Amino acid sequence: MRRYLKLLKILVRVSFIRALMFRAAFYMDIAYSFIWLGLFFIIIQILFSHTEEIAGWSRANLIVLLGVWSFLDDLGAGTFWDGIKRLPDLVADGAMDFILARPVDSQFLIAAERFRFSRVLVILADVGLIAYGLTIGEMAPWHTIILRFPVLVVSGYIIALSVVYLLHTLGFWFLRINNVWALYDGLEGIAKYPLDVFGRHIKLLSLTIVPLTVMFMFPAQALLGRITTLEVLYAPVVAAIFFAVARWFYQYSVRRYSSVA
Amino acid sequence: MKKYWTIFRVELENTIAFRGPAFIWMLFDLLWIVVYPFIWVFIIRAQGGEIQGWNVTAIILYFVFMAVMNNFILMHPEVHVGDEIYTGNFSNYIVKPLSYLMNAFIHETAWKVVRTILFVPILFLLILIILRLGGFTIHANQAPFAILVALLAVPIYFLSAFIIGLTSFWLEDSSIARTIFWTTSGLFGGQYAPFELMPRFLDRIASALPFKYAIYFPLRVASQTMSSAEILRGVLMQVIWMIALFILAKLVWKKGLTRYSAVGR
Repeated sequence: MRRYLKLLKILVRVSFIRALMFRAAFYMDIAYSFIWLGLFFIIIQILFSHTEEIAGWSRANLIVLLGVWSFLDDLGAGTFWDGIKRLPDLVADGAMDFILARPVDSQFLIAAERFRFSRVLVILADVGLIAYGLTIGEMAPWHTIILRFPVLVVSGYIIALSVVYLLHTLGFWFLRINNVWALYDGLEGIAKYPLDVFGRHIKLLSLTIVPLTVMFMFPAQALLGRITTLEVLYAPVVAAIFFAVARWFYQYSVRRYSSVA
Repeated sequence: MKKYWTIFRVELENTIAFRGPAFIWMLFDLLWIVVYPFIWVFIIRAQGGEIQGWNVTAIILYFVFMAVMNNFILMHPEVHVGDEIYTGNFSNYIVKPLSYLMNAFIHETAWKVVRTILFVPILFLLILIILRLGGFTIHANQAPFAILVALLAVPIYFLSAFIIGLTSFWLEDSSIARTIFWTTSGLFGGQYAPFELMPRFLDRIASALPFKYAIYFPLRVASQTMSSAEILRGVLMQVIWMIALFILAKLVWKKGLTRYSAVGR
């Protein structure tokens, strides 16, 4: 464990040096993230210029949901996503050889190879967005937020990490699917809105097989005081299952790998 | 021209051999479009069945048409171009006597052919939805214009996306620029809502941007009655945007080349 922490520290430092080398990209990344948030804010305004609420979610509630969604998205993009996204290319180019030959867990090494610090900074803006949504709308009592929100955010993050890994592990089975991240982006994009609008069947799907509700809506519901204890307990179970499946699927798939370089 | 035909054949064979990415892009464009009809239907139903002349049938038809048109018009060179510059693979092209812009267009056209073949079953499903919903009239006299407008829309979106891909010359990775591009083109191209349901100022901004002429205008010509003057005005704007974006792409390309330093090679 200590060896991995040491390795993680080195990889974070390398990513930081890389970020300093490409300073323009670093600042642009931050600027773009704000532009994106602004654009999405406009979309919310358009929707709410015709209605007071969507599936029981007011404008303030939806801002909280958007804040939570963006928080988890930036957390993922700032930490492991960039590394994992390289997996299909590593397989197709035969560069997996260099990863597998190293005396560390290859899954860890792929994920931790690239951190994006600019996105971590944008998290502050996401927190501001959440705070704004809670100020203008409803909010759960502090003690319930402190007890429930961290559990649900960590669960949401682990599920997202597992889903990203599961999709990219398909790179072992289908060659050159280096745009598989677009599938995650597309699926994740749906969760910016209350999933209740899609009807009962899709809602059920979003609680089980593609657990978008658990990832994004549950943490937002915890902040708004709209979550049950059962739902709070359900999230870590789903996270544990997805993590185990993603780990198993990677290990199973890596056995298929034969260098093509 | 012969060399480009050869490239097209090679790219087509390549795309058929590795058709996974084409299938993923098709799903991505569909997912993007599927979300908004659900939301708008929910809002329209909650408001008594109609908002500013838009009822449930009309809004579903709008987004179904959007899905069909998007499949034929939208190309995504921004990903390929951005990645080539980022990984340094781009070096392979600058030493060859080929136009990189043309090469990227051919690459995307080959993808488009395969994507369209994969899209056929979904197209039949969408046509079934259109027929089942009714409320749609075929404007036969507008058909030639609809084809012309759709053909002109292809280079407008392609060149805009190509320029976004070229931002990789300045940014280490243009993925955020891509996300902004998709959201901006979606918003000002009418992918989230028809312009009648948007505030007036957004419509005015959209009229000053190319996306309306690449996404919304072809959809309107294909699905609604328009006067000849309206169509001609739109076609003129399309031609202006096409020329302007071509010049801009050339300028960005020229400027970017001076910065290129084969990162990763």
